[in-house]
Amino acid sequence: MGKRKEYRKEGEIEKAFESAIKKVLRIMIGVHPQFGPPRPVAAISASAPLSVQVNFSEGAVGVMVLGLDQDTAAHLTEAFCCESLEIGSADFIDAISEITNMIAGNAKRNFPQGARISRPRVRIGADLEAGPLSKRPGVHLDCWTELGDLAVEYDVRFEPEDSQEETDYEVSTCG
Amino acid sequence: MKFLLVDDSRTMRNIWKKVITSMGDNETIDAGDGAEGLKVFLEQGPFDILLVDWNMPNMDGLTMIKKIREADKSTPIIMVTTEAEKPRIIEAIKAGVNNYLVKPFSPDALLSKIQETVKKTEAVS
Amino acid sequence: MPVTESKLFRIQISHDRLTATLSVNGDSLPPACTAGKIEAEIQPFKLFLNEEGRANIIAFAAKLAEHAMPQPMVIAQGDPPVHDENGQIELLYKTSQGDAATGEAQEDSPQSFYERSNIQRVRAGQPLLRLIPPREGQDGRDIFGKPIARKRGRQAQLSLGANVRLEDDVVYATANGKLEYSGERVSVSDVLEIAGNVDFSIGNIDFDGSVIVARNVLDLFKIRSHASVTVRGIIEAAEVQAEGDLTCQGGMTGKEKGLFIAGGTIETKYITNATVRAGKDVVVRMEVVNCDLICRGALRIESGLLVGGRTVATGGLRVRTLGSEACVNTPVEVGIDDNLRQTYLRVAPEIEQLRRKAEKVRQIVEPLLRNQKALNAEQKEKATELLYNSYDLEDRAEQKIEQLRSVQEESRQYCLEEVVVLGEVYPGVTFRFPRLEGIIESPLKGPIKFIPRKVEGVYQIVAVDCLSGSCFSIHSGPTSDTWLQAAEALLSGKS
Repeated sequence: MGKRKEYRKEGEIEKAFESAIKKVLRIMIGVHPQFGPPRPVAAISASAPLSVQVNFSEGAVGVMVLGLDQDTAAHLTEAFCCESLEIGSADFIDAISEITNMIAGNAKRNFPQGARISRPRVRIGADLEAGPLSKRPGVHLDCWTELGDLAVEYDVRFEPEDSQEETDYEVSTCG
Repeated sequence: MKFLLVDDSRTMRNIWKKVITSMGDNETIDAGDGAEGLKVFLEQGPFDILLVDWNMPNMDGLTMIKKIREADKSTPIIMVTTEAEKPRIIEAIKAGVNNYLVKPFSPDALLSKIQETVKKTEAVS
Repeated sequence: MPVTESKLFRIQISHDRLTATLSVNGDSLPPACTAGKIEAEIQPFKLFLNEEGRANIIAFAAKLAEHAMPQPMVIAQGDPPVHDENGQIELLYKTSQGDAATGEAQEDSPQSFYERSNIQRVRAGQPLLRLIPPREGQDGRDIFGKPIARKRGRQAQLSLGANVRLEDDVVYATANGKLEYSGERVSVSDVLEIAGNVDFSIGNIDFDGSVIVARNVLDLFKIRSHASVTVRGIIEAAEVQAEGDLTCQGGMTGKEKGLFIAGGTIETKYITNATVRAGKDVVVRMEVVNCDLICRGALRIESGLLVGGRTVATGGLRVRTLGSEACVNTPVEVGIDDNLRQTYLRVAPEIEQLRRKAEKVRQIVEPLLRNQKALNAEQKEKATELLYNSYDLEDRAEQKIEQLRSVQEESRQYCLEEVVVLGEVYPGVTFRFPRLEGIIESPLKGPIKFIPRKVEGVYQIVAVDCLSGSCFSIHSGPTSDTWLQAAEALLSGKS
């Protein structure tokens, strides 16, 4: 437990996400992201024009949301698949899900006890009615790429007591 | 060579296909989950090599590999997944995978894994 | 001394009213009288007589009975007050010489005189001073039995300056820096100002904040700052390291021992015979002579000279005079990130080793796993673990490649393959760009720009006359130092 708190304190989760985003975007899409400093947010929400949510369970509990505008999503998926995909089409959903899945999968690799990740859930259009996806404060990480800007928000905890609070995430594994 | 590609992401299967096509005149058949993959393997085999994702709906890749290995011990299988923790990899080795590649991967990395696996299979046979 | 007299006797009372002395009033011997009579005689004075005083009266009466003139005798004594002790300030920090409070020398105090710094460095959260409250004394009592009030103690006076806080009578530093304590005021400064030279009176400096030296930094002294360093005079053969910028308004005379490192920009008048490392630009007004200089930004000596030594300017070079008429060997590398080179040279053998190990393990284990029937459960387990290890080794090699790639990506924003000479460039100067190297064979006049360009399908170093725009190639060819190509091959998976 002590170790877990220490891990949290040292900003390793932030590094894990940053490194995962960097790796996935660079290797699979060929862009070179740059990051703003992580900043706290009161709650994780799907407020971007397009968002992809992945939940964590087991070794870590929480949620991650990739938020971006539709143009950026179109550019990223086009670079990923080497073909232009219609926003909202099955192929587009599959591609953006796979990108997010790889980011979450790589981030969890650096969690102290690993984790399981859910199948990504894609929302097109700001789903403000869905309300916050996490009741707790999280971290917002801005990322700029040649193909557009995106942001990742996450709230990931390792303490067992936290895991009891989080019961409303739908978890089915992916990737 | 004849490849069976099993991943629930069509995008990922297409990326694999591009790499395989770049290697030469190869045949690829794909499946969207473990259950379909097993069916294709049994009905349309033999295959020279299998590329399999881990987490998929209906039947996951690991279960599919275990079932394949009950009948076939020699077809080389490469697991391509985001699962990179030691217990998972050990589990995969025990299930009978011959090589392991963590996503994300560069086309070169996949190519090299396939070539390495093929080379070793040829050396054995 | 106040005197109180009866007809026969005289009582002298001390100024502090703590002693009453009995003597005969006048020079003539009074008639003999008893102690009781004496007491009755002095009773109107209302002295507070104790046993000792009464005994003295008896002795006084005995003397009179003997018709002898008695000596003055103390017959009443009060209790002096014990005054409060004023509050004090206890020093809780240790100086470089030892314990500030006790003056005891530190057992592990550094031996070198250079290390004996007089600057009191403190860290955030460190307890600095303790305020000790006044100690209560006791009221006294005079010879009349009346209380004498003690003097009340004063609280220790201390005003709190910047970067300190008071909690439960203890003053703590709230920032790293230099402790400034005058006895009445305490603060922690994040700027260290040295009024004179950095010499034996100051010692080496290791400071979290900025350092400003009003005069010079003498030979062999060291300054290390987590922020910027500004020297108003010159820096001699010293070692100065700043995580931020390093500014030296005089010049830097390294005498082959000087080491000047800045995470940011270095700005000065001249640098000679020194090792110089800068995370950003190096800007020099007059000259850089015989220096081992590496900067991740540009090297700019727009009104001066660069000659001798070895220069790596990742962000390009802009200089008035390059080399000298004496054809001094002046190698200049531009557009090459030395950090990338060092990272490559460090990780490439490690990657090679990890891959070799992984391959070796797999060569042993894979045949075993193919013939699992021949293995018992323990052997199978062991073989599985070994195979995992081989994947892990490969993965570690991949991570090192990632590390290298990350440095390469970072270096892209720094690299500029360009040398601009505003005045003259002389033979003896050699250029090295990432893929090309070339030499100056005859003196050339500027303003002139040297850049790598493809000429008739071949990469060459081209000199562009900045006034006329005319170009010509200088003697150049592929670089003999092929680390960059090897690094790129490694990163593209081709090696």
